[in-house]
Amino acid sequence: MTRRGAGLALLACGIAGLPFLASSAYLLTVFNIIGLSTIVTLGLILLGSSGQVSLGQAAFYGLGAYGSALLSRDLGWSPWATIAIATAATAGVAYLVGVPTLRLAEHFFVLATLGFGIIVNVLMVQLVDVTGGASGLRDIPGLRIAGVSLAADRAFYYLVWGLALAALLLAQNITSHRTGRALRAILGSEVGAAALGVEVSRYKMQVFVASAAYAALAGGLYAHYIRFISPSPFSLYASLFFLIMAVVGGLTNIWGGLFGAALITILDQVIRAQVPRVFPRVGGEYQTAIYGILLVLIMIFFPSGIVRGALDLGRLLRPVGPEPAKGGSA
Amino acid sequence: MTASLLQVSGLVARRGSVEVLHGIDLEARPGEILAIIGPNGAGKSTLLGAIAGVYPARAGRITLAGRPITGLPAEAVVRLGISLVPERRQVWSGLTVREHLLLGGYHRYWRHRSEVRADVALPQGIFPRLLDLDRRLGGSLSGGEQQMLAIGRGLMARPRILLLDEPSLGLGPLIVREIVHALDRLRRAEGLTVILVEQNVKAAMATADRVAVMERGRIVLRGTPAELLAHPGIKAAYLGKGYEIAG
Repeated sequence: MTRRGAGLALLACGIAGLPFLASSAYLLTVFNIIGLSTIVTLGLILLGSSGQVSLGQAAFYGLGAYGSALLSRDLGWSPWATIAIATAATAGVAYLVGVPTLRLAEHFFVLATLGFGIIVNVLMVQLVDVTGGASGLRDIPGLRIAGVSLAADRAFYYLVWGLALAALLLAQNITSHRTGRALRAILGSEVGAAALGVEVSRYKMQVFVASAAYAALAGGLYAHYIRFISPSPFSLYASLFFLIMAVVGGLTNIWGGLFGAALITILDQVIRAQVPRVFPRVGGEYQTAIYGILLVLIMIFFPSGIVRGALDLGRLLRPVGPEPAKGGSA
Repeated sequence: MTASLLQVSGLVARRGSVEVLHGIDLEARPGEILAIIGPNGAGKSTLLGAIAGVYPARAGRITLAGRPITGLPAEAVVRLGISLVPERRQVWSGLTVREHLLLGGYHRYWRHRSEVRADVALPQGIFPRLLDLDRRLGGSLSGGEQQMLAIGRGLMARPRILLLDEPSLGLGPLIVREIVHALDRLRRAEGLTVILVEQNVKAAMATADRVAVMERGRIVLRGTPAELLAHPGIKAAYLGKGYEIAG
């Protein structure tokens, strides 16, 4: 417990100090995107801790972004209020989506979220009068605190990472103690969990709604940070991207969410920058191929995520001492 | 004879699209051990699951101490005092022994946290091995240890009726004997009612007060172990010719 607190304090210090070490606008933008992705990924990991997988997370991300952008731009409301409203409304949408789909067996649930994601993305493109269609929405108001703009990369950095840490703490709280035991029981066997008195469908709904709220919060922040949104960052491809982050981190591992979001965002930047130098003639499709290969390799070699995989590897390589096995720490 | 604690009448249940139980009548009295025996596929596990609310009843009626519980979801049935120790134990590999026990008291944990934490001593008293294994993960336990854990977890709900699905499956005779003794002690000390599904007919006959024989979704025969042993068909089908009750 204290070790966990120390780790968190260390992480907070590292996050607070990072902009002083790497202060270029480009790097700060990358860090901010990692922060936003971390929030979405943490939602997916909450969902994953009950054994469910969603391929519609970018749709919730987009609902948060479009909802908050439209309310603040067209009605002139404060972006802080509209982010909160859009997050709550998206959670409501997730509840309505969850009522019929959470009854489905898990692979059908994944397909249902996939379908939901595609529908939302099509609406973003087709409802031109509301969403601006493929050309998107411009002139979205930025975030301000007491008249001071948070539009600068560094100011936004502290906002998004403060919220990401809060999201991490909340997710950690949800997945420990009584609720965490119940979620892990559901993950192992839904029938077994129900037989112990665990309200399986209530928990599955709660984590699904929470995961949508996480995504919508990140989406709202994104809209007021970039101040321009279009349908493409909320496509099926983005959902897949978030899912890869969660899987890389380990689908049930809260800390892995942070790690997966950072690794995949950085990898994405490297691929974008380096591959055209090596293969000048290839198009944009290579990215998809690389993520596909990555996902397959992780599933084969690190089925419980890179973080857990690295820990296990470290344990294997460590010389065996006389110390008795500590089964409970795993 | 005391009034029945659990009363099942005309119970019909399906698993998927197949009707498995075709009208079961059964009663369990307070403090008795009732064994249900029968061949594979007779519907024994489905019967326990239907009583526990895991499989919905298509028709019929289940009452607990006079109160109808038909159609209640599993989590509600646990609260009313029926605890299922499921088939193949359902021990979670990633949870520790203590976490399993706390989960067993799940529905009381919210309001009575310290009480549930103290209650862990009850299964540990019955199976002292669980105390030694406290921090071990479920996946690292042997079959017998997992069975003790599954029963201990079931007891943590403080049930009036414990439903045990094949506790002897895959276990050696010594562990089966330990579990049988534990059940007997619980019945005497706490007045616990046990409904036991068993393939191991000898163990079931030695423990039970009454036995019901199931075949193809129906109860075809019921009585005390002695009565069933006197029944020529049963002895030949389940026990072999030379079997005597004490041996």
